[in-house]
Amino acid sequence: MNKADHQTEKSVNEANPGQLPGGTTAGLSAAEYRATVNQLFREHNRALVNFLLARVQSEAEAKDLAQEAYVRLLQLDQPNAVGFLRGYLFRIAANLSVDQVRARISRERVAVELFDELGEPDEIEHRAILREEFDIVCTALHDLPPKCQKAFLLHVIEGYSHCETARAVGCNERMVRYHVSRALLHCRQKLAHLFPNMERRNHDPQS
Amino acid sequence: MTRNPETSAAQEVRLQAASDWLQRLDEPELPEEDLQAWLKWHGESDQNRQAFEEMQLLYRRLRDLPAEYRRELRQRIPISPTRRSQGWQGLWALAAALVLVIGGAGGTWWWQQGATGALVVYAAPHDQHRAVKLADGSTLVLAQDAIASVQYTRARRSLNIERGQAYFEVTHNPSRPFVVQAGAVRVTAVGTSFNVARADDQIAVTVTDGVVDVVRLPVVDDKSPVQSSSPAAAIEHQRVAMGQRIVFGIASSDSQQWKEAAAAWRNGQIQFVNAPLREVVQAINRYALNPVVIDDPRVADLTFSGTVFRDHVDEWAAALSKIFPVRTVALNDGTLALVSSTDRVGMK
Repeated sequence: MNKADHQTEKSVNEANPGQLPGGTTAGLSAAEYRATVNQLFREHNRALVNFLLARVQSEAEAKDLAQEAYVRLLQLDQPNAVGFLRGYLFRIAANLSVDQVRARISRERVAVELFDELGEPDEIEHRAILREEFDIVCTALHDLPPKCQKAFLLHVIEGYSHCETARAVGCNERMVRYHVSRALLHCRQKLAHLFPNMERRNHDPQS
Repeated sequence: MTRNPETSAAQEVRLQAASDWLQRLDEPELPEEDLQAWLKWHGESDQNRQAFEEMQLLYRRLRDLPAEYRRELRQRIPISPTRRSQGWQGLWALAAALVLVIGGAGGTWWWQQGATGALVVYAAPHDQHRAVKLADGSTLVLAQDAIASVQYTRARRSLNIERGQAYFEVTHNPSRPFVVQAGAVRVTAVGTSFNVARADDQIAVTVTDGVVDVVRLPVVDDKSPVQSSSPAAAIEHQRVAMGQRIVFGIASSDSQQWKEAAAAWRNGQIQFVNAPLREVVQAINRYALNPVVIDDPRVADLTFSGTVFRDHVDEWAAALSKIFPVRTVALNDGTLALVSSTDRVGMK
């Protein structure tokens, strides 16, 4: 076994600290299962991080929770077809990223090295807004009708939930999403001439 | 990186979908069909993924505006004044946002309109637990197969455990008591976190933070405990504090600290400390494929201390004969019966 295998083997054991009488269960061997989860990581980690980014504050937290999700997936003792496993992985991640559960997880979690032979997932180039961009955004927002402006400001700037925004604006949540999307797209359009290229570095040869 | 040329209309649709998805994914209660639909959309093409990532970058950049930019934006784009209230009138909309359809075996929900506030029922599916954020910011976590109903009114936050086990983290609000009822047991919290488990005639309350007031009400018949809050009418009235556990229905003489135990099941483990096997079996039968039954009172009284992993419950049950003087007998219907392996009278 090379070093990386040894480390992931160690993490599987750490994920199941209880000694099960009779050893591991029937079905995939531990090594086969690990390989399956490894494959999930290769194929879906980018999507998993994108997913978590939509639900948490920072990239660091998204990556942390992604790793926690894999740990929990490795605790499954009856792994089935990959199709099911992927859904389950994302469901674990969704549950982990619920606010109150999240705070508790970060206190209790033990750092585990997983899949380190694959290296870091792609870097997400997040930077703060520039003055020039901010001015363009203000101008762009001026173009929009009042309800749209209000929905955008309350939800994106003031941090109101979709529900609170809907009540304040006087529409339903679907319309809030529509207003926010419209505002975002309009801002993007006005900003496009400044930044014609994608801003995320791609290490992934599959992209 | 080159981008393939494409009609701008198609790209617009894609970016619109991306922006919509971005918002839909940011729901604590994300319906399974939404998650699956997004996975499908995101995985369909590189362009979809790129559109999602692009809109996500812009969205986060705007969401995380530095304070001075935020102030300036408020001045440059004035909006009509708005009062942000989470008063009970808003509960209808919030309750609607929180109620979920749970697909698959074991999950149901229904929603009734009440006179003073919507009654909302939450159920956890058979294979996982559910975390629910309530309208006042409190959190409810339901164990597998558990069912709880919630009714918030202006004066009171009322919950009922119909079945199973639930854990609460309560937002502090002394003028609006948070009251959980399970059978004849009523737990009042002001700002605490605690666990209530209901199984047949047994109700256990474990406090992980703060203090709760526990009252066992006199029961007129099985279905309707007397709705009296007067302490004089109650048979038992106890304060239960952090680290303590109180069990109604069976005599519980242990004074162990159950704080870690209450938290453990939410992480996929169930911890037992000097728990009689009857109690352990009752708890694990929620997760076992083959239910375990104990006929023999000698076996039911054996005490177990240790951890059972939620996903390994069947192996644990099958291995009991290695830990206890019991035999496991598989019955025709798949049930696993535990029988004492000491046949001689007088032996334990």
